[in-house]
Amino acid sequence: MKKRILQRISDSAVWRSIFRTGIPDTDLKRSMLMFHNFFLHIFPVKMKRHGLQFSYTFCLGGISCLLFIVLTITGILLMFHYTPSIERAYFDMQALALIFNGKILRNLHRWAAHGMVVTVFLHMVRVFYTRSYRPPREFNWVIGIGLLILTLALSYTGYLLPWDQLAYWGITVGTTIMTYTPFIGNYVRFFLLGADEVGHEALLRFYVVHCVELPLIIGALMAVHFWRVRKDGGISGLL
Amino acid sequence: MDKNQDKVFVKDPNKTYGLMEIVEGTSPMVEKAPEDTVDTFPHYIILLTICSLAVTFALLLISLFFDAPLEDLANPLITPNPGKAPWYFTGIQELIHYTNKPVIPAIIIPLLIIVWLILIPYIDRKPLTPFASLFNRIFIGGEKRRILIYLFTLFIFGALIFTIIGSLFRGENWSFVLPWK
Repeated sequence: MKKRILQRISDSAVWRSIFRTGIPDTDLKRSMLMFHNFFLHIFPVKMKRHGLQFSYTFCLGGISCLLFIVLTITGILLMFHYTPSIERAYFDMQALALIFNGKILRNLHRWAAHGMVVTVFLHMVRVFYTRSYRPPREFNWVIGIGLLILTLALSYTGYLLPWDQLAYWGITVGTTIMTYTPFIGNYVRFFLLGADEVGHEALLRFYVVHCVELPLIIGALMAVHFWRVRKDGGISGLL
Repeated sequence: MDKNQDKVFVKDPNKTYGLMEIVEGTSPMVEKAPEDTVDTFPHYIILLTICSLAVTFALLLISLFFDAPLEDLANPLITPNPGKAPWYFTGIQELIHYTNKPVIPAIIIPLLIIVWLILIPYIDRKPLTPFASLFNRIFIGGEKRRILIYLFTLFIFGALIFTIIGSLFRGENWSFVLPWK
């Protein structure tokens, strides 16, 4: 009975117009399901059995990607309630607690951001110890290092946005560290802050970099990273 | 790539016979060695779904019970003591505390670490010349890459320890404090 209903649904013209494949009860249909779906086609149709082993990858790359998706969704929703100006930013943060689910939105964004820094770093550690950077995967490791740096940059630029004491002095201390760069230290700081001190210019700059520039760059690099995993022969083998 | 896998059925010109075996499987395989693969759907997709849901659920639970910090309005006139960078940079702050030349821990060491990390796959490869072999023995430690593992582990624990000290064990004027006191 249940099977018949499922059969009827998956045979219907509407279902077929969306998913093309029916109930995936044969190997061919299972392959087609992966191959003909936009969201699933980034995965191979078949994968090595050991690639499914949790203790090999600890799902760290996948969790990093998932956290990035969570951050994108919550980040866009937070943008509806936020004004990047020093007169409003902090009070927008306070007002967020009054909005339905506003607090949990901010909590999700904050903890996912910290989580992503941790999982991206641990992902690098895992890849090192499984020696997965060996040829032909050398350049994907380099892209991964770039993604780690971008993750830190994303987290750091977001740190200023609440415009509280923690944010203000965190960025002040961080950008002071950058002034230790020989010869161009003060220029680096001025370039980042748009002024000599952390102020309105810095807030606007960090906001645009955090919400537009870095997500675009990291998104493109993530696409290359995943694409190369496939092109370099899928997940690396056991040592 | 694992090219050897495809070479299982290379024909030996000196032999007049071939060996065949019936292998368990759900689809015919022609001129291909048996491979240890599974269908992505459903094997992997199920794991992916479970893992994603578990992480999302855990994140929701954390967000329900722990609020993101929000201190007083930013005030350039009130400097907190100690002023701390975000936790992932407190390790650098801790290192700066040890030296009079902040350029070393603030700029040179992080840059060197990044360059070294990028170079790892290019120095850990099969040595083809005697010089590369010597280079490999000094910086990698042979086939088992003992030196590289030692250095990387040192980097991980160094970063961990300095970050923990910098973010939890430092109080007023960067003096040593115990976080539970």
